[in-house]
Amino acid sequence: MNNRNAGSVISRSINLLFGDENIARWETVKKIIRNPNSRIGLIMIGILVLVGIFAPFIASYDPYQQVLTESLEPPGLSHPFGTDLYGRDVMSRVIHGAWIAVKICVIGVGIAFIIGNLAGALSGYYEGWIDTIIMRIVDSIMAFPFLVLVIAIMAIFGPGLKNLYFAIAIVSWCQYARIVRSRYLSEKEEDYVRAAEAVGFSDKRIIFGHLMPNSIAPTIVYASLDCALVILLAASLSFVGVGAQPPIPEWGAQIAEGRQLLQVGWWIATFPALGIMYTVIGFSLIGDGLRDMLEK
Amino acid sequence: MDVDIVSDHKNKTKEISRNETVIEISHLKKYYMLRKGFIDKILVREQKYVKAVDDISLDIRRGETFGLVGESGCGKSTLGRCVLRLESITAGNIRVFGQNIRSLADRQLKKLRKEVQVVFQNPYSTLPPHKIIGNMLKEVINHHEIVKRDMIKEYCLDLLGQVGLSEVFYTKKPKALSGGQRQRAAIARALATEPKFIVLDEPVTALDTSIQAQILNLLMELQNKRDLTYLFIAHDLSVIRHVSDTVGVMYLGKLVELAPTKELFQKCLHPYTKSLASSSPLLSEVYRIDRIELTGEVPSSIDPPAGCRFHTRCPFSFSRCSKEEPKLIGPDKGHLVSCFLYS
Amino acid sequence: MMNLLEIKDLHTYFEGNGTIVKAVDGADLSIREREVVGLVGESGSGKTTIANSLLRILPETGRIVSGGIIFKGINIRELSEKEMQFKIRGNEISMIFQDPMVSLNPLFTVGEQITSVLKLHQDIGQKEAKTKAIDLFRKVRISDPEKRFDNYPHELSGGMIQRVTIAMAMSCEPSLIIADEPTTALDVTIANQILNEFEELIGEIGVSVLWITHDLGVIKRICDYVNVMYAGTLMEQGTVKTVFENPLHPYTFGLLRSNVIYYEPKGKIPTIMGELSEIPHQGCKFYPRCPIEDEGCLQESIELRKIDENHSIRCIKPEDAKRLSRSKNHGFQGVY
Repeated sequence: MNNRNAGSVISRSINLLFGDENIARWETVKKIIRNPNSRIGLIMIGILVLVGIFAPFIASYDPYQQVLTESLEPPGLSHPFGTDLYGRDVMSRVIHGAWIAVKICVIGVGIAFIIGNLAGALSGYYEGWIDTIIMRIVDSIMAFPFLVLVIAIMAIFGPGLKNLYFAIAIVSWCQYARIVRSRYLSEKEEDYVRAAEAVGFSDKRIIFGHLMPNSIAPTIVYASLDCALVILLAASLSFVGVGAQPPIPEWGAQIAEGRQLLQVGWWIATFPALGIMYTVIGFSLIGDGLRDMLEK
Repeated sequence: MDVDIVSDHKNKTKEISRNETVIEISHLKKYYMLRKGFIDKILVREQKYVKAVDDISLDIRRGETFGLVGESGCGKSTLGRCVLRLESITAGNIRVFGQNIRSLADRQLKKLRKEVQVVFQNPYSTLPPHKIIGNMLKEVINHHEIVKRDMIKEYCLDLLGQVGLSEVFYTKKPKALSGGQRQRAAIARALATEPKFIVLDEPVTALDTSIQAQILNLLMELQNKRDLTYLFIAHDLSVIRHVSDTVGVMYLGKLVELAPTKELFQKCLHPYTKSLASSSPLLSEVYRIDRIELTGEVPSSIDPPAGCRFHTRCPFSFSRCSKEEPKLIGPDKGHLVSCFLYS
Repeated sequence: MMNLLEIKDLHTYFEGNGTIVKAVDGADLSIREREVVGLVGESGSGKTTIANSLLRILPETGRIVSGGIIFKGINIRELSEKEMQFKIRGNEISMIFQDPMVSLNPLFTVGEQITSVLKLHQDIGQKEAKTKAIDLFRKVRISDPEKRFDNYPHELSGGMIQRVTIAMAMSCEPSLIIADEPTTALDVTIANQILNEFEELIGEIGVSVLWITHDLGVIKRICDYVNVMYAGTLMEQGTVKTVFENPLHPYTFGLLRSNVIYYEPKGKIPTIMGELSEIPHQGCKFYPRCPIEDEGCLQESIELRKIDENHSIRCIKPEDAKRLSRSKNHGFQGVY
């Protein structure tokens, strides 16, 4: 089978370049690719990322350029997705919106992931007062309905994309912390941690070198599903007006604009919505695939 | 390789350093506090403890294997962990190579961690699941700077060879290894710091019989080759008999009998030791130990029985046993028993 | 006389991820009435899978591929799930499991659990069931049976829980009790007590027992017959006396003599080299670790040969095995 040959060639080259220790990591990557869910998901998100990065080159028009004479044109040859009220090419706006979606995921979820993992690790490993403080903060944050809290934060710091990342991170990290904390609480009683202590490894090394690799997998699964949620969250916020402000081509903002025009220009809201759907499906598939892998 | 010459040489070295005491445990106590419920805290009830180790003293000499035997809950694993300083000590002293380990500066603690190592019971949880065996060993070796970085892989492969694992295991993760192979990897990890003393906490209990014998052979061979001293913890008397020079029998946190191996089996004194030995048909046959059956359940170590802790299950108990606690004494320093039948 | 249980050439495989694990690959077993039969093997030998196949409680990935299981003349493989549940499990054939800490439901008292078994199979009311249950508790030497009736599993010690499971196993007067390593997880002194009591009990009520263990000492103590399993295949079979005094199969021989008890302290223990091999190959499963080598060992399938009235082995070179056992004695007297 072609796959196997390619795989073994790559294995051997990795072996030569990085030492056979890293073969184990390549095996994990291979497993992720083999799972049908994660494979499709990765391809979908991969395309999304590429579209986002190369947006200025792919999009035929400037997403901000208004050509009032061409307003509300239905999808056609020159504008495959049509134009909106101000004559802006919807397709170019959707393509640029992809980049924004990617940024939201990477920055928003990324920050939450890092903070959450760190907080959960310290909480679970040390217990005591660190645990109490962190967990009470988590409880306080989680006491608020997610959306309400984010809107409140946006209201304090003002609307806009930059604050959006921040708000998402503040609210999302809690769940990661809880997951990681419970893993640490149970894993740290295992013999291999005792053995690591007996060798004399420092707390830092045990927390990050021994326990973290074991506890990170469920959070990665959660993160991929979180990306889907976060996209929807950002879209909802932009929709109600506290997220990305016009004329930024964020998908949610575009849907908000297009909502009132559904009867005269269905394409204005529909294509961004499809974009969101595509992204959410992609991330969900990755999450499902990773979770299947985890359960083995 | 001429095994006889090597063992002869080792015997001579043993004689010279026989008097060196590697581990001195005196009046060791390890109590765990029982968490008080909210109501108990309010009512200010007396603090209860699990008296896992309750006043134990013993010495381990260089090159010997001290066998610590007892059933679950007797405190033998706790004692092992105290010697390793994985647990804090409630009272008493432990000296390792002459050094009191209760309070150690960081550098001294690091030295302790190098000289004293451990092999645990469960092969399925003793290795870090996400590291390949090679990296696990490398990490340990680098931490204690045992060899130079460029020699490290060679050293690891050699180490694996010494525990009977071929080179292919270097890149394998624990989940690809069988129970016996994992235990070998755990032994390799213990040896990686070039220790002088190893605590073996039920190292073969979780293994199949045929593999048990393999690992025991390996441990004994390593002891000879590297002049190691072992604290061998187990509940199986026949295994203890095979590997130990001195045997200590524990029950509910106390040492009930302490003697050189041959002595202990030939003159089995304490009723508990007799009942342990008599549960193995061959042991009782060979050493002519009368079959003793115990009655009742094992008492809790939170509220151990008054007087001799064993009296509730002992077929020979009389009135004194429930009032006074017997001391661990013996006719000669060789064989110590704590039982009123002998004092 | 018809055998109570007859298992012939059983093959039970587990499938998952495209791979097939042949957990049981050729096992034969027969149990007569009032007989205690031992099934001994190390991990991976398939002994627990045989028990699960017999009661048809295999996990979803497992299935009985071929072989006959005849119990009291009934073909177990052909019974419906309902018949298995009401007639066989807990009723005609009951089972005692290894780990007392997880064999009972932690949410119900032990009294509730045993009465539910009684009520299911014997169509009696709560009161009668309770009386019977307390009676059974007394029989298995549970102290204070009335009080224990209302205890939850976590309030009882390991030994006590095993007594409860034994009581449950005996409650409906089964013809066969399967004991799957019931004393392995217990302390030596408690295990001893329970073994003694169990021996008495089965003598009293005349039930047949299939005792599964890896501990040859226990087999010697309470079994009449023994079956030695390796890698899912039956290797040797016979009366305990014959097999222990004269083990013919190289595996049995190696296993018996690798017990540390026979040897001078500090000496090297002769044992079976290597590990259970994952690589499937044709012929004898034990070949990679066997000191005897012969091309015939790798032929397609090796038959179970009858050496004596009460002694069969699956080996093409039993004469070599005999020679091996006599020469490499290493202190092994063949008497346990």
